[in-house]
Amino acid sequence: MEQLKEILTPALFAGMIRIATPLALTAIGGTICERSGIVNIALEGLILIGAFISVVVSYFTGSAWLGVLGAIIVGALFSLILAYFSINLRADQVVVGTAINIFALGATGFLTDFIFKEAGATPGVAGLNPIKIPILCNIPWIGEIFFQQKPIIYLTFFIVAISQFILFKTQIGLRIRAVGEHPRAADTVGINIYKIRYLAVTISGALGGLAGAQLALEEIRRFVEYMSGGRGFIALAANVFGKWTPIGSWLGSLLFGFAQALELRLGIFKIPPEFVKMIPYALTIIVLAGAMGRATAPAAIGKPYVKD
Amino acid sequence: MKTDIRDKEKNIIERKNKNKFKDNKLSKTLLPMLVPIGMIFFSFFVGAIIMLIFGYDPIQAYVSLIRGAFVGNFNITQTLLNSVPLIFTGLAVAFAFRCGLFNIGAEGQLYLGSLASTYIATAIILPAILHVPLILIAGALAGGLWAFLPGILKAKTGSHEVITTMMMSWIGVFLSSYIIRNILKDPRTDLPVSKTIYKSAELIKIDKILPIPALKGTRLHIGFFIAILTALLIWYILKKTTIGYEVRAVGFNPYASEYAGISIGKNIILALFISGMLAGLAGSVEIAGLHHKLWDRYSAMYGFTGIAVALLAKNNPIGVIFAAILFGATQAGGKSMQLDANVPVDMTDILEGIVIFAVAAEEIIKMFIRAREKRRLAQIGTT
Amino acid sequence: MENLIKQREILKLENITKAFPGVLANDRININLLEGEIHAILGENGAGKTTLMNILYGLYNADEGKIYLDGTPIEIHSPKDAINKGIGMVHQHFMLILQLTIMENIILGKETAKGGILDMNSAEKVVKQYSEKFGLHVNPKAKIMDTSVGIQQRVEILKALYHGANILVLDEPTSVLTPQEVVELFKVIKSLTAKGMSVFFITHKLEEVVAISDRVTVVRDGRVVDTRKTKDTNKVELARMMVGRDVVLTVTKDKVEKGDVVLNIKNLEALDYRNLRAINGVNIQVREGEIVGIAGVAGNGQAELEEVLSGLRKAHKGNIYFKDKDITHISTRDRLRMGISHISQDRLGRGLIVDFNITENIILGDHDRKPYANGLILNFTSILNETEKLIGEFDIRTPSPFLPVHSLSGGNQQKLIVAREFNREPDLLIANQPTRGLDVGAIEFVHNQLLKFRREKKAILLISLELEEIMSLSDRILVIYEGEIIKEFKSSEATKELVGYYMMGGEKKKINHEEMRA
Repeated sequence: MEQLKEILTPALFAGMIRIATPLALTAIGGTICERSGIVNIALEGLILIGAFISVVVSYFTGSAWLGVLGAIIVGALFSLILAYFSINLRADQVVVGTAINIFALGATGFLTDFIFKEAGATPGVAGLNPIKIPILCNIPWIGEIFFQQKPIIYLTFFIVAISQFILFKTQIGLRIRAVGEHPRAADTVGINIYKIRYLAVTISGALGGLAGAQLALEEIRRFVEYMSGGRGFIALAANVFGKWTPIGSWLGSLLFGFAQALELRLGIFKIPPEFVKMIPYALTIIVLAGAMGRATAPAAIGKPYVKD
Repeated sequence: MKTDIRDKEKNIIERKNKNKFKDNKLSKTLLPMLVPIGMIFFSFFVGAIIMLIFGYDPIQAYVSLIRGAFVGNFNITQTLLNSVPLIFTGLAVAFAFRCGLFNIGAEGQLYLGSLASTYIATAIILPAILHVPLILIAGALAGGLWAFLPGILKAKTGSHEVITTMMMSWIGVFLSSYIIRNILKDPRTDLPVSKTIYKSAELIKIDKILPIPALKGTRLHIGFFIAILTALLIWYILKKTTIGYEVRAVGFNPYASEYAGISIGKNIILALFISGMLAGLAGSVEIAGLHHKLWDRYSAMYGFTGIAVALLAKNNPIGVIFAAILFGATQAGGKSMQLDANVPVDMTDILEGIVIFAVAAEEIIKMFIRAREKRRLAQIGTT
Repeated sequence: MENLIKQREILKLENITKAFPGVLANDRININLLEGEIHAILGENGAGKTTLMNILYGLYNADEGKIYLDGTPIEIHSPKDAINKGIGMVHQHFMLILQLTIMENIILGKETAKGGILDMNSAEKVVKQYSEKFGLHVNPKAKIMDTSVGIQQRVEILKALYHGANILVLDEPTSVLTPQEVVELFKVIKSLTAKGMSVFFITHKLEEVVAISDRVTVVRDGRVVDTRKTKDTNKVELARMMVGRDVVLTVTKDKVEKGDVVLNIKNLEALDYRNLRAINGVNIQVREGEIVGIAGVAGNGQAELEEVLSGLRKAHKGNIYFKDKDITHISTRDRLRMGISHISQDRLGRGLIVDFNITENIILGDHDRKPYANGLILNFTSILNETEKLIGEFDIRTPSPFLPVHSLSGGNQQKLIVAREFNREPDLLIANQPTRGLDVGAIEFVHNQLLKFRREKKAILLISLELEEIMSLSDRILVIYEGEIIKEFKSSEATKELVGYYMMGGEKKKINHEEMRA
C-alpha cells in the first residue's frame, strides 16, 4: 500500500501526459493519413527528421520556436515523398515508408556528422521550458498533471480536439473519410482524390515533425541518432487502438505514456532495466492484438487509386 | 468453314508464340538483371548528387568505396564476410514477402539466434561435427520462435506484422542485452560481452579447407557457403515444392487460396517462422563463424539492410546473394570512403534508402510492361 | 407521336471514339437524347455501353468526338464537369460509402456546410425534401451498410437529383432487383421524366427496353447498329441487332434419369460476418443427374450458403451430407478431395490467383497430390501435360501455358476455372453465378458444360441472380429469401412472375398482386 502511494503520484500522471505527447501527435497524423487511405509507416522517419531539424534550427538561430516551425515544415515537405510515390506512382506504401525510414536514419546521421563534425549526437541546444498556467497550476493534482507542462504538450491538447472536430464535423473531414473508404465513389461526386490524399499525408508529416521537435526540444534538448526509438510504430498501434479516431489515438497514447511513466518509477521493485524498457513494446503488441478484432480499418487503406 | 478460321487463328497464335518465346528468352534472362543494375546505378548517381551538394567529391568517394570493397584480399574477404549475414536476413525478408508478409523485425530475430547459438556454444562441449549443426539449429529455432508469435497474432487476430515484428525486434534487442550482461557474461571483463565460444563450435575458416592463396590468413569462413546453400535451398522450396507453392499462393491471393483448401493461417505462421529461422541463422553464423563471442548490439543493422537486399533482389533467393554482396561491399567500402574522402559513413544508409525508393518506383515500370503485354494479347485473340 | 416531334434535343454525342489496349470500345458513336424521353441503350456485355456513359460522365476521356448540351459543344473531363452540366449517373456497382449514413452519402461533394463546418440539420431537411418530391423514401440517418439494395439504388438516384441532375444515366439498374422492385423503379423513372428529366437507360435485357423506353439505340462491338422508336420495333428484331445473328433464347435440356441423393442439407443455419443469422433452417437435396437452382435477390444468404457448403464458413446448426456422409465439420480441402467442386461468383477474388500462370492455377487445390506432386515435390512434367490437355479440351485461348492469368480475357479465365473444377472429377458442383460478367459466347460455353456434367449423372447446385439462367438450366428451382427456402418449383411449373413473386418474399411479404400484373 505504502509502495503504491509512492508510485501513484501527480508526477506519474504528469509524466504520462508528457511521454504520451509525441506518440499522440504521431498517432493523430497516422489516423488522418490512414483515414484517407494511405498507410504511413514513414512516421518513424518523420519523427527523426523533425527532431533533427528542430535541433539544427534551434542551434543556429537560438530560437527553439523557430526550430519547432522548421520541424513542422520539413516534416510536411518530407512526407510529400510518400505522397508522390504512393499517390502518383502508386508504389507499395509500406515499401516507400520503409525507404523513408532508412533514408531518414542515414540522412540525419550524415548531417549530424557534416554539420557538427560529431557522430551520433549533436551538442545541446535551446529548448522549450515549462509554462505554469496561472491559478490553474495551483489546483492540487490537476494543476501538476495538466498545467505545469511544456508548450508543445499544451498545443497537443488543442490538436487532439481540433483534429477530432475536423475529421468528423467538417466538410474536409467527411471528404477525407469518404476517400479512404471508397475513393471511386468520392470521385464520382467530383471530389479530387489526389488533393485530399496529399493534404492528409502532408498533415501527418507536419504532425510527425512536430512530434520530433517535442522529443528533441522539450525532452532531451539535443539530437541523438535514432532517437525516435520505434515511436512511429507504437503510434500506429495507438491509432488502431483508438479505432482510427484522434481522441482514441490520444487515449491509446496515454496508455503507453502511463506504462512508460510507470517504468521510470519501478526502480523500487528492482526489475532489471532491460525488462522495464521492453514494456512499451510488449504493450504495443498486446494492445494491437486486443484492439484488432474490434476495429476495422478504412476500406481503401493501402490501395492506390487508379483513375482509368 | 468455322474450323478453317480456327486453324488459321491457331497458326497465327503459334507464329506469334514463337516470336514471343524468343523475346521471352531475352526478357527472362537479361531484363531481370538489367533492371536492378539500372536501379543501383541510379541510386549511386543520386548519392553522387547528394555528395556534391554537401561539397564532397563523389568520384573520390566512390573510388575509395570500390577500393575498400574489392581491392586486395583483405577488402574482398571483408565484403564477403559482410554479405554473409545479409544473405540470411535478405532471404528472411524475401521469404516472408513471398507470403505477402513484411518482416521488418529480422534484427531482433538475429539477436535471438545469436543468443541461442552462443548459449549452446559456451555451455556444452561436443565434437565439432555435432556441435556446429546443433548451434545452427538452436539459432534457427530461436529466431523462428521470435517471428512465430507475430505469425500467430497475424493469423488469429489480424495484427499487422509490420508493427508486431518491429516491436518483437526491440524486445529481442533488450532481452539479448540483459542475457549478455547477466547470464552469458564473460567474467573476465566489464565490457558487455559473452564468454568466448568453444573451438568445437566454430565454423571452419575457408583457407583451412580450400588451398586458395588469396584467402590465406583471411577470416572468411564456411558460413559464406552455408549462406549460398541456404539461398539455393530456399529457391528450391519456393519453386519446386508444395510448401513454396502454398506460401506463394497465399501471398498472391489469400481468398482464392482459402477457397482451394489452402490454410491462410497455417501458411502465414509457417512463412514467418521460416523467415525468423533464416534471420536467426544470420546470428548463429556471425557468432560461430566470425565473432566467436556475443557483443551487446553487435549487429550493424543487418536486419534492416536485409529489407533493402530482398527488395533489390525482387525477393528472388538467388538474387539475394548478389544483392547481399553489393550491400556487403557498400558497407566494407563505406569505411574507407569515410577515411579517404571524409564522407560520413551514414552515406551508405542513404544509398540503401534510395535503392528502396528505386525499387518502389520500379513497380510502375512493371505496370507499363503488364499493360503492354495485355494489349498484345488482346490482339492475338480472345474469345 | 406529336410529342416526340415537339421534344427538344437536350444532349447529343457525336462521333465518340475510345480505344483501350487491344479494343476499340467506342467507334464513332452518335446518339442523342430528347428532353423528357427514356432512351434505352441496348447491348451485350462488352458492347461499349458503359464506356460510352463513363465518357459522358467524365470518368473516361474520349479519344475523339464531341458532346453537345442544348446545341452548344461542352467539354467533360471529370465527374465534376458532368455534375455541373446537370448530368447524373447511377452506376451498376453503387458508388456508396457503406460506413456513412444515407444523408452523408447524398451530400458528399456538395455538402451543406457553413464555413467548412457540416450542417447536418439542413442536410436532413434537404434529403427529406427530395424524398417527398420524387417519392423516393429513405431514412436519412441510416447507415448504408444496414440498408437493402433497393434502398441503396434510391439513394443513388436521390444523390444524382441533389447534385442537380436533369439528365440521368442509369447503368443496368435492374441487375440487382427483383421483378417487383423493377416495377417500382420503372414507376420512379416515369415520374422523373414526367417532371422533365431525360434518362439514358442502359441494359442488356430486351423486355426492359420494350417495357420502359421511348427510343432505343442498339450497340454492338462499340458501334451503333441503329436507333429506333421502341414502338416501331420488337424483341426479335432487337435481339438480332444486338447479337448480330439470330439467337435461340432457350437452352435445350436432355432428359436425364435422376439417381441417388448426392447433397443433402438438413436444417442448416449459418451466421454472417456480423453474427446475424444469414441462413435459417435450410433443407436442400440434390440428386445425381440433377441441377437444382437457387433463385433469389442478392444478399438473401446465397453468399453464406456457398461459403458454408465449401467449408469457409461454419454451420451454426444443422448438417450437410455428401453421399450420406456428414461433412458439416470437414475442411475445405477434404471436401475438395471427396469430390465437391465449386465455382465462385468472384472469379478474380476467389477463383483464380491472377499473378500465377495457367499451370499454377490449373493445379490449385490439387497441387499437393498426384499427379501434380510426389510428396512435397511438384511434378512439372505431369503439371504441364495436364495443363496442355485441358487447354485443348476446354479451348482456353492462350499463347502459352506459362502466361499469368491476369492477361487472359474474362471468358478464358472462366474456362480455366471450369476446366480445373471439372478435372477434379467431382460428383457435386456448387456453382455460384458461374456466368457473371461473361459475354454471350462464354455464357453458352459454361451452360453447355453444366448440362454435359448433368448428362454424366453428376449433381449441380446452381446459385444465380439471373432468373433466366436458373429457369433454363434447373430441374428444380428453390427460392431463397432472407436465408430461408420459401418455395420450391419444378422447372415446368415455374414462371418468371411467380418465381419473382417469391423472390420478394411471397406470402411472407404480402405483395400487392396488382403491382405484379403492371
